[in-house]
Amino acid sequence: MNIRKIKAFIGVNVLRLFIAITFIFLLVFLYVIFAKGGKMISWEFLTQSPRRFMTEGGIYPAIVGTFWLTILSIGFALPLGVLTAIFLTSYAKPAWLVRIVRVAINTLAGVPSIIYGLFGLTVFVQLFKFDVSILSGTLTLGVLAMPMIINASEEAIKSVPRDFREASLALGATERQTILRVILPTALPNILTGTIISIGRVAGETAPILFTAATFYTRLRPTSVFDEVMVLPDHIYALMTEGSHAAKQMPIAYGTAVVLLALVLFVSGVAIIIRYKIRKKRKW
Amino acid sequence: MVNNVHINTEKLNLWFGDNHVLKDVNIPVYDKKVTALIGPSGCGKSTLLRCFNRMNDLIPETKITGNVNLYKQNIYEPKTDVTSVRTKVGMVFQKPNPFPKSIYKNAAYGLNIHGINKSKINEIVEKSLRDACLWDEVKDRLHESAFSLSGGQQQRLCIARALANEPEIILLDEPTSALDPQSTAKIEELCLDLKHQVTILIVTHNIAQAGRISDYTAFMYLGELVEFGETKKMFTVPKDKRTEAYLSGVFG
Repeated sequence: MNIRKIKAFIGVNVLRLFIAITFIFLLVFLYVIFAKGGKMISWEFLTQSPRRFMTEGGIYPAIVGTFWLTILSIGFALPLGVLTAIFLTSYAKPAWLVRIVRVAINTLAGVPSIIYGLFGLTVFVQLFKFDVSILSGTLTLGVLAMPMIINASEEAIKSVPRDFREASLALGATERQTILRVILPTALPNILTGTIISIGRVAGETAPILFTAATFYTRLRPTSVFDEVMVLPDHIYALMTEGSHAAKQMPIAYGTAVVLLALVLFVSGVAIIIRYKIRKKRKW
Repeated sequence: MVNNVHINTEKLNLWFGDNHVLKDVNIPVYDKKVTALIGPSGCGKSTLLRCFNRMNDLIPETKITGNVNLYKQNIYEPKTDVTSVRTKVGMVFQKPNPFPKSIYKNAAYGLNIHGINKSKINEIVEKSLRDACLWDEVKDRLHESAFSLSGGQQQRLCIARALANEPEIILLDEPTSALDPQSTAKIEELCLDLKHQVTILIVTHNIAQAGRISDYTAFMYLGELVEFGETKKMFTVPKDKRTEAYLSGVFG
């Protein structure tokens, strides 16, 4: 019996060790970013434009740029993704078409993000002549987020018990009424979970917007979707790879990283609160 | 008293893929009577039930031949409006399946989707909850979740939800198999009350239940309708040997 107890003791503690390792990585990660970037954060840093070849001043234009790109691309990908998921789960016929669509989605989900950048450059910037702009960046990021949102929504819709659908149809509801009144409201919290994950992903993507939306430097706030913008991840990239004052640029890059993390947390936080409110309201 | 046929099947055959589930079923269901469908598991009684409101349409690769006539009108004709059939022919499922909404919204669901006037909805919701013998238990908590009710209450809510559409026929698919004896007794009592307003067709595993509440009984075996008749007669003198064997518990 002692052997079994010893085995259990070892097993549990090995698991604890692994959890500790994961946790340590997270702590070290946060420490590195905040230790190097935390002291940069000031009111000026958040509200001023960069000055003197990006060695002084703030990152305000990049915050604005990332904020708009994230919101707009999710605003574009969410409805399209949910509608596609509804089609795939409720209407899709014939079976071979569904299979092709699904293969396409899964392939898209696995495409490296730099390829999305090239795709956006070719299609939105050059072919549609949207130029390097918020619009091109939004569409490119939207295409990147769509497979994630479709997969999450499809799972969410599939996890709605079949009983609900049958009950609604048996009461003389049409397919459309059943989807709008029963299936979507029930699936919404899980759809939002998928959306939250894509928000983090989209806000942090560098490569897709490198050629489609990001600019090295602008003092101006964007006035329309056809303006090019500074964005946080690409700003970090620029600070670390370009310019000639590496010593002065590096702290700003870390400061920008802190802001990016905070922004992602903020946007996800809002989505989590919305989800919480819906879950509380739902009579499950 | 003359019995009018409310809904009946003519030479009804049904296949799921290659599986021949219903074989030449001819069954009448009489107006404002309780008809019980009995038979061993897998004999096709639930499938037959789901033919009366075209719920089998939801299952892919289903093939149906023959007629199901609602007042002489075949509901499987191509031009049939399925939603209107399902409004006239209500259904209650084996497992209570209220929506994740409030008690009130559950009862009002059918009315809302049919665009009934808001002021009338209150009235009809109360009437259906009363008809389902649930009103007194829920009148003070109409806006609480339907999931806060007990299983038996949930099933009566599902009956109320079906009644709110003011159907002519209610199909009950083993409505008490997931319930305790007390809740079962309440639902049986309810069936006897309701048959004054609607025609009831009930699938049951419980032979005694069929005996207690039904006026007519249909015995099905391996997809065939073996025997149909007045419950009293069939339970005392079954015509077919298989019916006799099933009723006396030889198989089932």
